[in-house]
Amino acid sequence: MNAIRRISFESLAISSSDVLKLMGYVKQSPDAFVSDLVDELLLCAATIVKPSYYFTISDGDISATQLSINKVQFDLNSTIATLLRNSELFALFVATAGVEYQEYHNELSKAGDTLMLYVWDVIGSFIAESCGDKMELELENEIADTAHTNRFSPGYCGWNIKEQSQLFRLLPNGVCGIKVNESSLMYPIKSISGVIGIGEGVDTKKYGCQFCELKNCYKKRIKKLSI
Amino acid sequence: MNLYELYDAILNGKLEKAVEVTNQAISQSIEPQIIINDYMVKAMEEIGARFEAGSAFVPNLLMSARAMKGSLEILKPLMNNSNVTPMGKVVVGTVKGDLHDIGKNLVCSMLEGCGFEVVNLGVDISSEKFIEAVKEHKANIVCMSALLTTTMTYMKEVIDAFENVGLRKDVKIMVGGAPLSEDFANEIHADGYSDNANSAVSLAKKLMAS
Repeated sequence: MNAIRRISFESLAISSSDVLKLMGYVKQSPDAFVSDLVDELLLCAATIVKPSYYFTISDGDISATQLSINKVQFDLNSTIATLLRNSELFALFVATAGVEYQEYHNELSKAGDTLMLYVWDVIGSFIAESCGDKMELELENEIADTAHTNRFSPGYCGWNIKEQSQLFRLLPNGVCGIKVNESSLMYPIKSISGVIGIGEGVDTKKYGCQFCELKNCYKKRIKKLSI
Repeated sequence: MNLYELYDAILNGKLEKAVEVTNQAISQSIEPQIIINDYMVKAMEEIGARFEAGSAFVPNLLMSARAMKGSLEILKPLMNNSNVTPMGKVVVGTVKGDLHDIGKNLVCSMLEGCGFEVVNLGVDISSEKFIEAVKEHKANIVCMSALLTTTMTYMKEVIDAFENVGLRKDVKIMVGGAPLSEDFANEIHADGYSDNANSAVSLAKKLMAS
C-alpha cells in the first residue's frame, strides 16, 4: 500500500468502557460526572476527528544493532534488532488521530481544563493505537500469510527518538498531515510511527509488557488492577 | 458552620460547594491558615492517599485539585495579612524530546492544589528554558518529567546546565516519569524522585523544608 487511508472514528469502535478502563476504572465504577464527560468527548471525537494511516513496504538489511532501508541507517538496540532478525521486508508506517484531534486538544489546553484535557488525551491515545491496529490489519491482508513482527517505534524499547526524522525521510512529505519538529517529535501528538519486520522466520508478537523495563507504566498499573 | 463540608467538597472534587463553604468561612472571619491547613490540605492528603492505594483515579485527583484551587483563589487576597506563607515556587516541564504532559499536568494540579505557586512550562523543554524560567520566576524547585527512556537522559543535561551557570545550589531539582527510578535520580544528582503526583507534593514540601 502506498496510499493514505482515511478512516472514520466509528470504524475504530472505541467504547466509553474502553476509555474508562485505560483511565484505571477496571473494578471500580467512575463518578457519573466522569463517565458523562467520557461520553461527551467520545461524541465530540465522532464529530471532529479524522484519523488516517499509511504504510509502505521496502527491502532492507538488519544486523546486530542496525537497520538499513534505502540507504537510511537506523541504530537500534539489540532487543529490537534481535526481534527484527530474519525479516525479509520492512513495513514503515504512521497512524494518527489527525490534525482535527490536535486542534481541539490545543483549544482545551488553552482553556486550562485539565480534566477534559486528560480525558481527551486518553481518547487520543486510543484513537492512534486503534488506527495503528487498522493499519496492521491491512498490512496482514497485503502480505497474506507471511509472518510479521510487532510494531517498533523511535523513542521506545531503546530506539532513540532522534531517529524519527530519518524514518520520515523514507515516507512521503507531510504524510497524514504529520510534521516532525526539531526535537524529532511528531505533531499531531497522538501519532505513531515505526517499522514492522516481515518474513517467514520472524518472531511474531514477541515484544510485550513482559520485556519492557518501564516499572511504572500505566499499562502495567492497569494490568495489576485487573488481577 | 461546618468546615468539614469543605473537606468533603474538596475530597469529592466539588468546586462549587468548596467555593461556597470557603466564602462562608471567610464571612465568619475564620483564619485562612485554619481553613487551609486543617481542612483543605487534609482533603488533598486523603485523595492522594486513596490514589496511591488504588481506590481513586486521575480524574478524582484532578477534580479535587480544581476544587482546592478554586478555594485557594478566594483565600489568596487574605493570605498576605495572615500567617499563611506560600509553600514555594515550582517550575515544571517535560524535558526536550518528549511531548508527554498528562503526568506532568497532574503534578502541577496537585502542587497548585496544595499551595505551591506553579509555572508550567509545557513539553519539549530545553535546559535553557528551564534556567531562564528559574531566573525569571525566582523558583525554589524545578520539576522535570519524561516518559521515554530515550529522553530521560536529557534530565542530566539540564542538571549539568544548572551547575554550569552557577544556579544549582539555588534550586532543588526533582524528577519523575514512568521510566525513572530512585537510582536514576541519584545517578544524575537530582534532589529527589517521585513516582506519582501525590508523592511529588510530599517531596516538594520536604525539599522546601531542607
